[in-house]
Amino acid sequence: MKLLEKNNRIFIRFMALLLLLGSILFYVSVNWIARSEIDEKLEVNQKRTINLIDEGQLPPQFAPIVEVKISPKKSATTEGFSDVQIFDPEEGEEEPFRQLVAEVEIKGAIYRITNRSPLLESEDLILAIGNCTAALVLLLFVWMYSRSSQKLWEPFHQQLQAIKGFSVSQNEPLTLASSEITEFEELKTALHELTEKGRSDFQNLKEFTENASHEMQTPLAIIQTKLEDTLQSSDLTEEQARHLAVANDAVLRLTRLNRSLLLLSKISNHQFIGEELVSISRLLKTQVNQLADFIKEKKLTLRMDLPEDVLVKAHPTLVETLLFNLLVNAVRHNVEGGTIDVTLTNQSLNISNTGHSLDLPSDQLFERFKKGAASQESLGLGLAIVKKICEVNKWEIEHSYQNGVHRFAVSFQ
Amino acid sequence: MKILIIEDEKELLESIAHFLSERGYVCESAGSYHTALEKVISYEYDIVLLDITLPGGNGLGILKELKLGNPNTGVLIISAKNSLEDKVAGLDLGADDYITKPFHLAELNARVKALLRRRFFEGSQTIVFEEIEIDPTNNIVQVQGQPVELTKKEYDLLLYFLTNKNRVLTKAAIAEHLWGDYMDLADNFDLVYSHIKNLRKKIMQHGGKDYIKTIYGMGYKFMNA
Repeated sequence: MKLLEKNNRIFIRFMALLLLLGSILFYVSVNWIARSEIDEKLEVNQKRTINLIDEGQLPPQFAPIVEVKISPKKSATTEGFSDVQIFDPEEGEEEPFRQLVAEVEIKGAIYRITNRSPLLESEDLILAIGNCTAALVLLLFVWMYSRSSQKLWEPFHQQLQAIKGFSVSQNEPLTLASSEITEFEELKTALHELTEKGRSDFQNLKEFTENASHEMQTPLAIIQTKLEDTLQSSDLTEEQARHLAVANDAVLRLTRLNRSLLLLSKISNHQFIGEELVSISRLLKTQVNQLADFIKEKKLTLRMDLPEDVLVKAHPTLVETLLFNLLVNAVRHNVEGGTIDVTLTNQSLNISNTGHSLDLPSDQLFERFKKGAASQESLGLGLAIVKKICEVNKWEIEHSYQNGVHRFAVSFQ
Repeated sequence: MKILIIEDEKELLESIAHFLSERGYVCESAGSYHTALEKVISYEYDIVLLDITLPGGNGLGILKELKLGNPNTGVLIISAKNSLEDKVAGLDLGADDYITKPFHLAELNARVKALLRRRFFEGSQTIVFEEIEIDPTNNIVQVQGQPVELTKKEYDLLLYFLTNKNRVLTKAAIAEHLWGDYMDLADNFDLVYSHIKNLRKKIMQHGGKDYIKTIYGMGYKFMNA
């Protein structure tokens, strides 16, 4: 249930009760005021009637408003105010009246004076008040649904929409509409601070990765240089030499890892600025030439279907890296005597290679440090870099495995 | 040949200086932006090895100053940043080559040698080792005066060995020199071995001696037996 609906329900229930009580109170007080006014009037009229009789004029007769009877003696019926129902032959129904009865002795005669005034019909009154109340409730209902939902909650819905589209990796701060409502302004401030914090933390983290990778380069250079210096010494024992060689390999591995991490964070940080038209066909040819030694070593058959100059708009280094990683992948995870198929069109690039099946699902293949148990040498970053490059260029990449063939398909649209 | 090494990391600076001195170069060193700038302005060098990230300023500033005073000095940029922008900026300002940390000293040596050849001998000088002779301008190798047909990789390998003779070269360093980033694929360095085997065979077929010594578990050393 929407907050607004809930709020309206509570409010309308409360208002209905309040209006009901209000109407009862209204009815009672209107009735009371009307009666006291009538009573006052009746007393005045009674005095006037007595005065008239006193002056010797004919007592007024205007049934049922004024009735004067001469009685021989005081009757037993009560004097004072009372409510009566009197039949009105004109209307054909009983009408309520308020009457004031007095028995007065004037000049020896006893007059029984009755003054009456018609009362408001209570059902009429109740009907009128009821209608007014119902009209008010309806009006309130319509107003709340139209005005408050549209206008009042508008900034809230805008803010909600804005947060739904927010990502900590976005480059611009979250833009939220201003509102004159204090709570929404507070919400806006809080959201702004929260998202900015998220954004800056994320930024720091990214920069941290980059800086850490940078800072590691120099110590790595020192280790590598010193190791190589030590290797030159002629009086190394065989065991020492073996240890040094292992350490040397580890440093190399760390260096490669570090370079890949640095590259990954640079791509994520959008540091490759400046797109240009890059010929994928040309880059593929150059890279395949570089791979010739390795293709020959593994006795691979390379088939290429490259149309002239397929151009994409992207950063050249990124395209180069993408092709490099995919091709190196196709060679590394190939089998002795296997095949590599490269098919390029204006819309897509397909690189297929023979290889063993994976022990992890396709979608995990592109995650960092996810690699098959068989590939010890692989860093597990190559495809993460490929995925990232596709992401920044808004390209799609898919992997499939069928009949002993891995296929990576990049679509450029 | 006089080389100025500009590098803020003391240990690395020492290693480079020691290594290059052993190869017969006269080395001077500068560990900060200001000392480097002073030296570049006051003295003349044949080659400057320039670290881009320096305390006190950006190495590119030194490069600008250097190119104003001594445009003939060869400049090899050493950078921790494997960034294209730095590379492009450096080469635009007149640097000759670019090497990224960490690097093999043998690789640095090969780059320095290549730079010297390009800058000062215009490639006319041949490299001679015993009965082996290389003409780097025309990529011709002769053994006992007889031309030897080498593949591009075998030629690169021989030149690398001759540049770094009497030094143990790890398989990784050789692989990186031959294939650059593609060395990632040279997992077990079998390919390095097969290229060396072929090179050895070709030299010996033409009456050359076997100078490539295998250092077990580590790599190879080109030396006069």
